[in-house]
Amino acid sequence: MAEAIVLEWVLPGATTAVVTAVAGPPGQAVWGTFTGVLADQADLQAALDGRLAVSAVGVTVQGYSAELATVAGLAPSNDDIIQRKAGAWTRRTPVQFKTDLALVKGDVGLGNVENTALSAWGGSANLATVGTVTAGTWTAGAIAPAYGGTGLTSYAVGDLIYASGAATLARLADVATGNVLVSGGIGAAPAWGKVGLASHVSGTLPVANGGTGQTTAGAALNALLPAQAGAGGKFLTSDGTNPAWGTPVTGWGTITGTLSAQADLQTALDAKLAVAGGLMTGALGVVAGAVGTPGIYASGDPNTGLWFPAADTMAASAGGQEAWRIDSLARVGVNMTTLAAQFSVQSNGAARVASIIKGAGSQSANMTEWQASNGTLLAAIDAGGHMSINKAVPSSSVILNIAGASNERVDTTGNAYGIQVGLTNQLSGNLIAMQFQAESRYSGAGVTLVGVQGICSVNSGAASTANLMIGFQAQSPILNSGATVTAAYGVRIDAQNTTGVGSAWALYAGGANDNSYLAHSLLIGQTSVPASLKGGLVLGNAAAIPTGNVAGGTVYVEAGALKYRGSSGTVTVLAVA
Amino acid sequence: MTAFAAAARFSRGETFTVALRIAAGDLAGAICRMALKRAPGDSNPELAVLETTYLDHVDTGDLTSPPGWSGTLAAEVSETLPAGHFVMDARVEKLGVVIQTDPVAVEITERVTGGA
Repeated sequence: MAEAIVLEWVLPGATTAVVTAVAGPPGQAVWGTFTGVLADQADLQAALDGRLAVSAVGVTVQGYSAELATVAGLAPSNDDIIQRKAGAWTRRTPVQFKTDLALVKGDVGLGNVENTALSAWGGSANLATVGTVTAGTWTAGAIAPAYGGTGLTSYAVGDLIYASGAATLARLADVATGNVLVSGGIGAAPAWGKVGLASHVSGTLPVANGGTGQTTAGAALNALLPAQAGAGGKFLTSDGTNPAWGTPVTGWGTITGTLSAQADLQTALDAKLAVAGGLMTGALGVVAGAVGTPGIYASGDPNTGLWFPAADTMAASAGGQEAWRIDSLARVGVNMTTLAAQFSVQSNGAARVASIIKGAGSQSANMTEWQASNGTLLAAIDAGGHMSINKAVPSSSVILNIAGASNERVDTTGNAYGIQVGLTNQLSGNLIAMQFQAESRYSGAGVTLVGVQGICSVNSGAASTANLMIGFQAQSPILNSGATVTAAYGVRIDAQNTTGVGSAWALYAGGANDNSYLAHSLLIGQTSVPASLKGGLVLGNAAAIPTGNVAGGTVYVEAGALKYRGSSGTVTVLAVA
Repeated sequence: MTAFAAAARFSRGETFTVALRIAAGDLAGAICRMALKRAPGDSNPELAVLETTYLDHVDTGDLTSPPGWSGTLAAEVSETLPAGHFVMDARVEKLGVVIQTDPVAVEITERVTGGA
């Protein structure tokens, strides 16, 4: 226990009650507590400075070594040599050491041998003549170039020796046949290689030596060809011995044999279409052309034919004008370039019919039909000119047959019309929806109604007071004839041509088969009839009491009383209310 | 009156435990003996000898604590001791070298609970 020992008590009740027991080596004083720094202890610092640092051992100070201790204990005599022998250090005399060295003559350099007295050396007598060796074999190393030798000791067949340096020679090994020795340039070794015609050869080989004697291509060619003078336009040919200029002939020469023998020419011809009777086996493509220059036209008529205005569109021109075209939607237009319908026709002259549909001599089928997408007939005109509209089959007994299912005769307002004629946005002129005009204004009838009932309501439902069987209203002017209207009638009822007629009625209301009170009564200004009335005249109160006079008189009902106003304005009550 | 560096106190019949830690030096393998006397230099036999155990770490819960010895006076031993003021030190011996620590004061007080 040479080091300092410090013991500390750890007592109960105190975290660490320190009672130091410091012990040094037995019998020695114990160091107290040092304060300050080491430099303040001058004597200790000096003592430390007098010693080597531990780190110096092994670096600047040799540590203890048993080998060195052995060497130190050898106690050699003068001139002795310390020698490692048999794994241990020992001291040896020079003689012993020399013996151990076992020197041979090769270990002694020439510089260590005395040679100034070689001529007197007994061995020199073996040389026949000093400076001249006439016999014997040289067995020493290669003689250096500096002494006339090569410094080389072996060669291969074909090797060349060249100076590789100021005092050295080298072997240039042989190479494959056909190579020549080419200089490497001044100061560089030569080498085997090919002769570069562009870089290693100079001069021009004359014709006599197989060359041209010229240095340009044109001159070289001329040097070999016949003289050029007067040979312009001629071709090079042979006279059988030498080349010569020949004069070309105009046109084909004579071709012998048959065409089929010229297989390539025959093949080329077979690939072409015969002008007459040729049959195309593939698609025929032509230029698109234009309206005035169709892509396909007949010989001598280049402005009439087919052409292609755009992709997927084809047209035909006649005389440089477009006649018809068909587009990608299969729409066909005649004399029309803007196709809004599947088939469009426009007359190209005011006096030219735009479209004619003509039947056969004994046409039995309809001349034309309109069908729904499922083939259902919508309208048709037969060969007799009878027309049906709305799914009716044309009939030879009906010029215009308008028919249809019952639910197709009622519009959105609930009204039903066989034919509805109306005016829309008629801002000027006469408001005439439909006009029937006889050829003679007074001698013929505009509309002739023939039958038991000329105009008859066929409403099969319950009679409605709102239904009018027929209504007439006079407006001025009635006609748009430009003629002076001398009289206007809303309704004019005459019984004319009654001669020989048993009964003639200017106005007849009622009938034997009528069973409706309302039906066979005449109502003026009234829409209902009294109970049980049948065949009577019902007058309603006048909407406005007359204040003026007419040449005859006016009968009217006022507040239920029947009154008469005469031409002088006198009002007579015919019957009280 | 002698001044001691430190003091400890326990009651009669109480287990008394102290520790002596080795703050510096190598005392591995040393023999430690702790004993109580009336006063330093008392020629009478030691009043009690503590049972010592060498520990690699004085504080067994702290593995960074230094080695040392624990000294224990069992409760049945302290039961036999009289109340009063005593001194205690430790004697450590290793390889024939003996280190004697400074004495510390120990006061044994009379107990109240469980007194005979």
